[in-house]
Amino acid sequence: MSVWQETLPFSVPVRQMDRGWKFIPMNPADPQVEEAIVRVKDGAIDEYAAVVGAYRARLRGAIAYSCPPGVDPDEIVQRAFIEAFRQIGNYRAGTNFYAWLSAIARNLLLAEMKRGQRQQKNSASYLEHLLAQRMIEVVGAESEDAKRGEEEVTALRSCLDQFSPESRQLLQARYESQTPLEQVSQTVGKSVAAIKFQLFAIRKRLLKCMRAKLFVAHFSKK
Amino acid sequence: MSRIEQLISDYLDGGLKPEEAKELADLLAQDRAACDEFVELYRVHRLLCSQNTKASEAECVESILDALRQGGGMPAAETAGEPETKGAGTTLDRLASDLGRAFQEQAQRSRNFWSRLFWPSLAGVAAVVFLLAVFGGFISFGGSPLSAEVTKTSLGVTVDRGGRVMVAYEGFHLKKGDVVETPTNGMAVIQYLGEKTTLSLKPGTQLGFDGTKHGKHLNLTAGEIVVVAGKQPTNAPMIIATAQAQARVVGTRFQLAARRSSTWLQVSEGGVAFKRTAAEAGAGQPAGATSSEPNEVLVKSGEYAVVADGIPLKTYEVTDALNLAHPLPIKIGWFSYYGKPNWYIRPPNVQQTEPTSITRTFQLPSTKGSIVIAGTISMDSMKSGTSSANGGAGFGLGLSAGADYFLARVQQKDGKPVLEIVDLAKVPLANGQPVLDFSEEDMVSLGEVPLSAAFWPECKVAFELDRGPEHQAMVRAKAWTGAVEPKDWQISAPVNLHEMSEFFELRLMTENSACTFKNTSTYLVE
Repeated sequence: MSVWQETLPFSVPVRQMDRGWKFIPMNPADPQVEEAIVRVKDGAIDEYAAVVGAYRARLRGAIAYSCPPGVDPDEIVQRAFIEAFRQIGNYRAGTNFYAWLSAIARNLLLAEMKRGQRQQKNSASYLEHLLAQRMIEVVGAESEDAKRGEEEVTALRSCLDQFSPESRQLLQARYESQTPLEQVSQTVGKSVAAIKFQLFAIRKRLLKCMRAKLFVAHFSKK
Repeated sequence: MSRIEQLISDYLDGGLKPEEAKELADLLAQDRAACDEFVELYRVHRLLCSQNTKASEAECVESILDALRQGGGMPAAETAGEPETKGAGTTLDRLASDLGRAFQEQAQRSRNFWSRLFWPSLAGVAAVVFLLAVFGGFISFGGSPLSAEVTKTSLGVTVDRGGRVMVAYEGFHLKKGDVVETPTNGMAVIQYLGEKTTLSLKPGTQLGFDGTKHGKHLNLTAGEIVVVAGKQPTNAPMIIATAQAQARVVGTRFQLAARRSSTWLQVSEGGVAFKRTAAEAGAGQPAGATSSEPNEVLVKSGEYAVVADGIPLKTYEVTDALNLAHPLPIKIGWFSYYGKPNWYIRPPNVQQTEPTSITRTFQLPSTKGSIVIAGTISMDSMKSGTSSANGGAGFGLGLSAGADYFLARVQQKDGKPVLEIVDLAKVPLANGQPVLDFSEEDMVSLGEVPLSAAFWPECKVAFELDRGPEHQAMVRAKAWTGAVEPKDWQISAPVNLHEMSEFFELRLMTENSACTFKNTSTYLVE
């Protein structure tokens, strides 16, 4: 199911695939996944597909939320799965595999962020260096809770549900279809500047909504 | 919309000019609250981006499994760096023309370096094996007669008989337990009496004769031999063992080379059964084997095979470029995101279609010994508005072990592209090892090579990762443009690999540009 839910009013290619995140129950230990892990430990590599399939989308959203410019969340996620495979002998059955996996991913991400920061010092723009530096501070200070990032994904989804179809369609064009803004502008009869303004306003509203939902989520945990 | 919001909007949705990027950075640097808001908006933007993937879930899962099957993440003993057979001629042709003899010369130099570290331990192992053999009663100091004699010899060829070293003269009769050793500039030929079997020992070879009641059993601990074997009785085969492999002779002519971390067999007539040496007791699988490979392969006339840790055992057709004397092309664990918008990965080529600043990582096999990675890089387009003031455009190719990097790059300086290579000799040390991070503070250029500002030429880069015993390794590199390849490595430094070292990676990096990495190939060089 697409996160955007609505189809576009104008003609842009929309792929019919099952991308977008899937809601995955946050069971501490999924019995099917645990069984697959046992078989992987016994040498059945192909069984790892079940493990990857169960957690990839979930981990991807969580990692994307903390990725600075120049760091590809897909790459971090893939490396995390490979590293987890290499160390799978160290995983204790019945504990939380996703928490273990996300800790690996987080370490890889932080290492990549620090490397990227050093690289940006002497290249690219000062702006991206500044952004990366602040993100390292923010992400580094965040808890290592495996739910980190997931809650934001849940909040995003919940907030998007509250948005008007027009706003969702614009986000869909911008982020899912990756339609050039010039094309969107021509289709809806607004200037590119107006489209950008609208997008910025939607993101700000999204941020405000997510903050509120995250506050409630954190408050209800206490 | 305030000015800062306008600039953030342009950053997120495109259209921010370099001078505006500087303006936004200055504004954010002065206003912490605005900076935090920017970070939060950026994270929401990334979250929205992550909801879109052009690859299906199934494709993503498959790409991870592909990387594992190709050896990227396999536990060390099972790592499979599958030799690249398709198009091997092409890559080898390129190797021959681009890198040619330099690899071989370098491999020799590498062997010299590692031999200092390796041989003492090998000698120790040999001594233990010898003592075990003696106390196990398999041989005696006197040795049993063996129907073989030295028929040709040069100065310096010796026979070690139970610790007593003798000169191997022509007509010298060998006994079980004898070890024949040729000097680095000498050769010897041994003839089995009463049959057509001869062994030619090349310079620097150590060959032990451990014959049993049932056939001939030889131990090749170093060097290379050429064997012309007469037909062997089925119940008394001729078996030649090395540290990694075992060749059972069916009756034929072949060449067997025991190299530092691998054994190479090339058959010119007949066939030789070739398999890995059995693993330590209880392991259940030969050391270095990949999970799905056959236990033994029959190497026929016109074929060769290599036993090396982490590389599947299989046979290859001998060609001018693919044979015992050339590096073996091996497949690396490409991360392949099908449909990823700006990277098209079609090994051995990787093309980036949109100019951006990003690093892409590829898994290297954890093969022991020396692997060389070579490739040609060209810049196809540059991000609009790119100038020296905002970092310029560039590309690089590096190796990584954990958080360490090693890099050659082309970077725009004063409006001109400049080829740079890190000089590891000048890099500061941490815990006695070079810090290989790519940062301005740590990096010192070794001979900047100004290139024409009018175009970005193809840049050729070659790296060698030479793994030694324990966690020791040598890293070497060179980069060049044009047809003339530097004869020697421009960079050479020892590194001490930690646990993460087996998770070695190749990194392709671009800066404000779209690049093509052509013929990015990996070779086992022994």
